[in-house]
Amino acid sequence: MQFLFDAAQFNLILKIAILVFLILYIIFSIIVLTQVRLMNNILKQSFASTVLAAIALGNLILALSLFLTALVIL
Amino acid sequence: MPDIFVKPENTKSETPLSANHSYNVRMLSAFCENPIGIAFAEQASDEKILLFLRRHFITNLLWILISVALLLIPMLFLIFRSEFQFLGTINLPLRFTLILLSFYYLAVFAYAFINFLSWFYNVFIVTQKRIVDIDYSNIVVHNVAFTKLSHVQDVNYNQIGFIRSLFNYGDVFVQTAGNEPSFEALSVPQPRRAAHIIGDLIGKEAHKA
Repeated sequence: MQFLFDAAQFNLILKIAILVFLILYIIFSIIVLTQVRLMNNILKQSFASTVLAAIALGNLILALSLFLTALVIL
Repeated sequence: MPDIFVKPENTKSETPLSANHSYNVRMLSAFCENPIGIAFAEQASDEKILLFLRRHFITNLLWILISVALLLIPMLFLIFRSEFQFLGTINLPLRFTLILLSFYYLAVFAYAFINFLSWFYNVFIVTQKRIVDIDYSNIVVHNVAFTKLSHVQDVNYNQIGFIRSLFNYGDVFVQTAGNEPSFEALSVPQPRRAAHIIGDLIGKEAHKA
């Protein structure tokens, strides 16, 4: 790849690829959070349900943070 | 006058349920009789959960090992980077490396989390009225099935293999009448006990498949 493009072009392509994958990951995280909430309504386990919902939400927040960081620093 | 037959007072039989004991279902519980702290959708107010089953935790070993290996790969790459000289031609700026590494660890976490959810939400519940089978095969597919205990015709279990015998887990199969689908609780701990409890509830003896 580096032989076909110069460094700036390569970095731009890589940046776009990373951002696209991060957007896909954010969508995936939203689906996970929705599913966890849905399954928590079907199966209510007092402490564990809360923990899993918090982890799923944390995952989404991390993904969003990473996307914004990538958008700024790349 | 001496009695001809006196019923022994200390006859011990395996009770179908530990009726006097309730157990709190913990996050990693896989077998629980008379569980408390758990409920399912459409549970009637007078409906009590008698048995709660999930796959034995040892069945998670494979994805746990894969996750640990995936976590270690970047560190191993750093330690043995001299062995990867052919990658020396790719000189990524540090900011790209950091973002890629963060994304990699996020993806590994997602892999582990999805596998954990698949284990956690795959449950088999027996109440005094019915059997509830909640299947969560992957992130977008879930299936919830109910059957009344009166529709259950037979229950059996199998426990095949060294690992299953060692950790005492196996499959429990519940056959229902007519066109209703059969229920199965796969790789659950203490399958004999689980089959015995269900068999007792339907008034039949459980037998080994």
